[in-house]
Amino acid sequence: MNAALLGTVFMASLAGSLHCAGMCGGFVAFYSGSEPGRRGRRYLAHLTYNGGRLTSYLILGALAGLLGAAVDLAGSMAGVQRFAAIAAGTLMVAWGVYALIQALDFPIPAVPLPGFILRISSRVSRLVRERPPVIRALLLGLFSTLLPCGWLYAFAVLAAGTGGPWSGMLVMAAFWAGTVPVMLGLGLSLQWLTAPIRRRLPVVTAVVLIAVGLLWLVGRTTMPMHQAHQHPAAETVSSDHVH
Amino acid sequence: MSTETTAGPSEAGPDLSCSHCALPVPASLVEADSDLQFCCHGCRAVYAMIHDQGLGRYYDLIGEDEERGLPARTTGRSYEEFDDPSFHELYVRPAAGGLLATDLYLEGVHCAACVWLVEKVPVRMAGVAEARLDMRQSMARVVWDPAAVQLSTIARFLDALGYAPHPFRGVQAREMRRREDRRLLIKIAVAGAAAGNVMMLAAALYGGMWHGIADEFETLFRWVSLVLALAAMWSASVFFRGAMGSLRARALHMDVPITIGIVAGFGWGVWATLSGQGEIYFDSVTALIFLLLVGRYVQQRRQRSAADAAELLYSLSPSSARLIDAGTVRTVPLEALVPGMRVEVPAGDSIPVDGLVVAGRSDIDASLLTGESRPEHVGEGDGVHAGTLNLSSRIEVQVLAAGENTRVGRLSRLVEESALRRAPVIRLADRISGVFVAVVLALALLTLLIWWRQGAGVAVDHAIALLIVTCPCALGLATPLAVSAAIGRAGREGILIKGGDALERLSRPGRVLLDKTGTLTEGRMELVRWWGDESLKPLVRQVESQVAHPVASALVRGLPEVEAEPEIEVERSADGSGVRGRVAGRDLNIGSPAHVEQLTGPLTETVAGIVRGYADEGLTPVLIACDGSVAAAAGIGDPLRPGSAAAVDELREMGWHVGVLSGDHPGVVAALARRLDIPPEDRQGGATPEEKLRVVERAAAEGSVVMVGDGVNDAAALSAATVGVAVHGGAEAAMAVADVFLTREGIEPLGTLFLGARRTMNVIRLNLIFSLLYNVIGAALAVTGLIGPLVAAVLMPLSSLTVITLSYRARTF
Repeated sequence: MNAALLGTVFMASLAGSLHCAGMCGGFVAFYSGSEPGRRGRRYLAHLTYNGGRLTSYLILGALAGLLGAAVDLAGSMAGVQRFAAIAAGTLMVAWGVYALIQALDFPIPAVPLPGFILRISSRVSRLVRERPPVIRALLLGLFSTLLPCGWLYAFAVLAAGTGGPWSGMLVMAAFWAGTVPVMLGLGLSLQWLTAPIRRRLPVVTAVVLIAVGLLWLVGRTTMPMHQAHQHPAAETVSSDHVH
Repeated sequence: MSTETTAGPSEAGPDLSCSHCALPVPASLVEADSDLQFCCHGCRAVYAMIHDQGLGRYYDLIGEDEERGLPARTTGRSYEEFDDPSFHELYVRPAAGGLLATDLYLEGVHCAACVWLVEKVPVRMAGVAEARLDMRQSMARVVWDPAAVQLSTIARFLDALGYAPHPFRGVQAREMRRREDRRLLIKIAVAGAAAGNVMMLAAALYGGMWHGIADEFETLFRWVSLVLALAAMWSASVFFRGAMGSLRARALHMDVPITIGIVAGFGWGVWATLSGQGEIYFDSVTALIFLLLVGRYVQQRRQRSAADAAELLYSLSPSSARLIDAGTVRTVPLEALVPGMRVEVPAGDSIPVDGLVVAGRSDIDASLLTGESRPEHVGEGDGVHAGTLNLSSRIEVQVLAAGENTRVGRLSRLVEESALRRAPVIRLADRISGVFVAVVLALALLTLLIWWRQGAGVAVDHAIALLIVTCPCALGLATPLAVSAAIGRAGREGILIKGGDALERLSRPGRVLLDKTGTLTEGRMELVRWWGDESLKPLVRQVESQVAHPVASALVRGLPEVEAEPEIEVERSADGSGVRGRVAGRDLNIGSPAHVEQLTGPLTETVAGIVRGYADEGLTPVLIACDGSVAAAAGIGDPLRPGSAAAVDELREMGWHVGVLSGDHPGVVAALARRLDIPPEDRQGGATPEEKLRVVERAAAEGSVVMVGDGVNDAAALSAATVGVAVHGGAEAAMAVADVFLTREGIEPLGTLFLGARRTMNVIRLNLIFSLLYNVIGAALAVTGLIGPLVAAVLMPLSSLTVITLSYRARTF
C-alpha cells in the first residue's frame, strides 16, 4: 500500500473534515446528552464514538476492497488490468464534478433520498434513546456508515479501487484519522468560521474530491493487486518510477 | 441555525443555510415550501434522528399550556355522539382499572411524525392513560378514564391535530393484504433473479469441472454465487419464520425440512467457498427457494378469497350517508352514524341503515335481502333495511341500527363465520407432512451416523443428498399444481372455481339444492298466459308503459306494440295494487284480482276459475277490466329456463340428489318442482335467508350439500353449504361468498363442473402417489450412498417437472 496514497487520503479527509463536523457534530452533542456528566465519562463517550466509527469504517473498507477485488478479476477477464482502480478514480472525479456543479448553485437534478434511509434512522434513534451515554456513543458510531454521507462513500469507492480488503481497510483508516481531530476537539458548531469560508466549504470539498480522483487515476499503475501484506516503503518508492 | 433570505445562484448575496450544519444549501436541493432546508441527505437524516428526541423536550419546555401548540380545527365536528351510550355499546370496551378503551380510525395519518404526535400529545391530556397508533392501519387505540375526560374531548383534540377520528372498522385490512402480497412478490422476484444468475454461473462451473477452469475464475464464480444465494436466503426468510413458529408450537410443519435443507445446502456451500474446496450447491438451493415461494404465493392467494366475502357485503350498503343535523344535510361516513340520528335518502340511492321512515313515502327494492324484485311500498312508521334501494322519492329515515348491526351486517357476519369454519381443509399432503418431516429428519440423522465412520465430509454429503432429494416440494406442489391447472381449464369453460377444496368436495355425489329465481328460472317476470279480449292487448300495453313496476314491464315486453295514442290518462291507485287508464275512449282498470273485484263487483265463475288456474301454475294473475267489467286476464310469471329440466336429469344420472330451496311463494315453487320431477320433500318455498341457512346447515350435518343460488338472500346459505355455487347474473355478494361461479347462464354447467372435479381428484391422487414413490426411492438411494448431492440436486427438479407436466396435461375440464 502506497504511503503517498494514504497520505493523500489523510490530507483530503482533514480538509473536508470541517464539513463532517457540521453534520456529525450534532451527534456528539446527542450522545454526550444534556446530562452534565463527569469529564471522564464525556471522554469515554468520545472514545467509544470514534472507536465505533473506526470499526464500521474498517468493515466498510474491507467489504469495498472485496468488491474491488471481484471487479478486478472480472476486468482482467476482459483484458483490462486494475479495472477497479480505474473505475474508482473515474467515479470519484465524476462525483466531484457533480458536487461542484451543485455547490456552485447550478440547477442540476438532485439524487432523491430513498425512503428506507429515514426509516433506518428513526429505528436507530429509537434504539439509542434510553441507553446510557457511553453505549449511545458506541451505537451511533457503529451506525454512522448507514448515514447517506456522500463524502464517506466517495472514500469507500476509493477503498474499493485498491482491489483488496486489507488495503481497503487501510484507506478507510486513513480517512478516519483525518476526521478525528475535528470530532474530538475543535468545537461542535461552525459558528466560529466566518461566513465567507462557510460558504466556500462545499466547493472546497468538491474540488478535493476531483483532485483525489485525478491523483488516483494517475498513480494507479503503482498499486499492486490484492496483497495481504504491505510492501516496505523503499520497494514501492522504487516501483513508483517504473511506468 | 439561521435561514437568511435566498438570492439565487450567485456568490454575492447570502444563501440558505442548512438547518442542521449551517453550510449553504445548493440551489437544486432547496425545497420551496419547507421550513427546513438541508445541504445534503446526510444532514437531513441526522436531523431527523436527533430531533426525534429533541421535539419531546421542546414540548416539555413550552409547559402545560395546551392552547399554544394547536393549529386551527379541521372538521369542527363536536363528536358528541362519541359520548352516546349506544356508541359506547358498539365501539367501547372496558380496560383494566376502571378505564375504557376504544379503537379509532384516524384520517390523515401518513408519516412517523404522526405516530409520535398522536402517541405523545393526548398522554399530556389529563385522563388519557394511553394512545397508541398503528400507522399501517391508521388505527389508534385510546385508553382513558371516563371520570376525568370524555371521549368527545379526546376526539376533538385529535381532530384539531388534523386526524379526524372514526370508530374503527376493518377497512384497512385489504390494504394490508395487498402490501403483504407485494412483499412476497418482491421476494419471489429476488429469488428468481438470484436463481437464474446462479444457474448460469453453475453451468460455467460444471463446464470447468470437465474441461478445466482457471483458479481465479472458479473462485470468483463461487463467491458471486454465494452473494446471490445470500439474496435468495433473504427471500427464503418466509420459510425460516414458518419453521421457527412450527417449532415453537411443537407441531412439525413442512417448513422445517425445507428450512433445514436450505440452510444445510447454503451453509455447506459457504464452507466450501471459504475453504476453497468441495462442491457448492447454490444452484439447487436458489432454484428450490424460488419454486417453493411461487407455490406459497399461489396458495396464499387462494386462501384469501374467503375473507374478502365480508368486505364485499359491507360494500353493498353505501359507505357514507346524508346526515340531517340541525336543519342542514351533510355527508358523513357510515361509521359516524349512531342510533337516533336522522338520514336523508334521495330517490335512487341505497338506504344506508336499518331504520324507521319518519318522513316521505316511496317504493323500496328489497331484492338484496328477500330476492323479490317486486317493490315494497313504505311510508311513515314503516321499517326499512340497509342495502335496499329507494326507488321513487326522497324519504327521511331514523337510524335504528347501523354498520355491523344491520340485517345486512349480521348476514355478512354469518357469512364470515361460516367461511372461517370451512377454510382449513387439511389436505392429504399436510396431514402426512408432520410424519414425513419427522421421518426425513430421523433418516438424515441415521445417514450421518452410518457414514460417519467413513469421514465427516462423506457423511454430511450423503445427509445433504437425502435432505435435498426428499424435499417435500413434490408433495407440496402436487396438489396446488393440479388444482390450478384444473381451475385454469375450468375457467376457459366459463366455470370459475376458487379453491382446490371445492374441487375435492364436488368430486363425490351428494345433495344439491337449487335456488329458483334466476337459477332455474329466467329471474324475470314475463307474460306467460293471456285470456280474453285480444284487442285490449295494445291498449293495456300503452297504459302499463306509463308505470314503473316489474309487472308493468313484463306486460310491456309481452304485448304487441302499436303506434301510441296521443290521448292517454294513467293513474295509479293509492295502494299500488292497480292502475286506471283511459285510452282510445276506453276506461281500463288493470290490477290484482282483489283490486279489480272492488271496482267491478264479485268475479264471475269463469274469471275466478282462470285466476285459480293461474295461481295453481304459480303465476301472478292480473285482471283487466274494461268499462266496468272484466274483459281479460294475464298470467305473469317467471318462466323456467329451457335447459333446466335436462340439466336436472343429468345431475340425477350422475348420482346427485336434487332439491329446490327458494324464497319465492310456496305455490310457485311447488308448480316448478312438479315440472322438474322433484318430490315434495326435496322442495321448499317461502324461505327467508335465515331459513335457507338452517336448511343448508341441517343438510350439511348429514352429508355433503351443494347450494346453487344467485342472490344475497342465498349468501349465508351458500357459505354454509359444503360447496356454494353462484350462478350468472347473481348479486355480487353471492359471487364473493360462493366457491364456484358459473359465468354461463343456467345450471347446465353443473354437470361439467361435477365431472371435472372427479377427474381432477384422480389427477391429484396420481400426483401424490408418484411423489411418494419418488421420495421413497430417492431417500433409499441417498441413505445407501448411491447418489451424492449433485445427483440429488438434479433428480429433485426432475421430479417437480414430472409432477408439473402431469398436472398441466391432464384433461380435467
